[in-house]
Amino acid sequence: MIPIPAARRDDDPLSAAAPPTMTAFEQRLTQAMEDFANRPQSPRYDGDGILRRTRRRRTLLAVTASGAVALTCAGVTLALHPLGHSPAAATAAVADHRRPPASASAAATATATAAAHRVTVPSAIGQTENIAVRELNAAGLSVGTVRSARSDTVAPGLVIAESPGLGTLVPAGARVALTVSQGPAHH
Amino acid sequence: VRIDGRRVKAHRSGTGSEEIDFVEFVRQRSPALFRTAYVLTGSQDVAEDLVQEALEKACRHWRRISDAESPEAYVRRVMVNLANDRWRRLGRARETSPVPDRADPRDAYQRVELHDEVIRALQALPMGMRTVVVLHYLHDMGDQQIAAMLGISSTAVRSQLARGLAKLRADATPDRQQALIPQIEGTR
Repeated sequence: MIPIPAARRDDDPLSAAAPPTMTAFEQRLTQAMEDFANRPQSPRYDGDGILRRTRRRRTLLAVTASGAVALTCAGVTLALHPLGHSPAAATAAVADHRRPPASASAAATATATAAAHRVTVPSAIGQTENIAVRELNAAGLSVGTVRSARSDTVAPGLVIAESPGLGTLVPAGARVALTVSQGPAHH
Repeated sequence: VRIDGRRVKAHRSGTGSEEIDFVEFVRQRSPALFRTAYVLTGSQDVAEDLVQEALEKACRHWRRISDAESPEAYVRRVMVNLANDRWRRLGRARETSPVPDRADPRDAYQRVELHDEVIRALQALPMGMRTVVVLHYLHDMGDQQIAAMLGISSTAVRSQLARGLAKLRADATPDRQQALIPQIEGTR
């Protein structure tokens, strides 16, 4: 695994970085921001899910676009060969009617599927995060942000909450955010 | 070496390397992006959304971005500009929550208290000014880098920074605390 270095701080040699001599207030400000930034835990972002959705979206756009092109071509063909002018043209036009271009129908199907395909959110609560992710994926959903929270009642590692909740009807591929227990607060 | 290696790979095999790179990037760099978003917005929820949205945007153009010298700087730019757009769209309403719960009670109480003053003052700044302050002090970025990232002049960056700092200093150092500050800062 290749570590990805943090953004370099001196990308631009022309611009001076923060001067080494900071006033007391500037130091306090910097310190406050850094401490503040460390307070929450970063949620885990689902890179795979983002990638999948982007691909799906790209494919759908491409199919829709090629469908539109095919429909336009069919329209132009019909306009250029008005019915009844010559037997051959008439036959071609009829053939066009009987068998619409394959990609146009594919586009129609894909669009219809995208619009009609809705799924209900299954319950992921009480399961380990891995199982919850698997079940959501199996239901055609992807996992959104995963955050952790303290819980006195739910064992660490188990899902406390999901959003949108159980039974909600959502489009296929929608993101479901999970909250995972960190165990009880120990203070 | 890494960038060269990846470039060669990307040209040869296309989508395969794209996939590995993006997922790996998200895994490794999203916590850093989240930190920036959190300091910028002061809200965990808003910050989460912001990072998610920036990552999704970046994913659409990942092949181009991963060829850039620093993908992280690029995604951070997307994110910062999203924050500014959103803030503008909401009619400059305060989108930020008041300073959130004090998460770590082990921290010396007074120090947290003092920090909260600063953070509260920071969150009260207009978003553009706040962005400049955060990029400068949290990310050590220079005037010209910030200017390039936000699409404004470096003169504007310097003036926003100076005004932001003055405002912070005035807001975060109420009279009753002035006596306390040198004492605490002296211990650091």
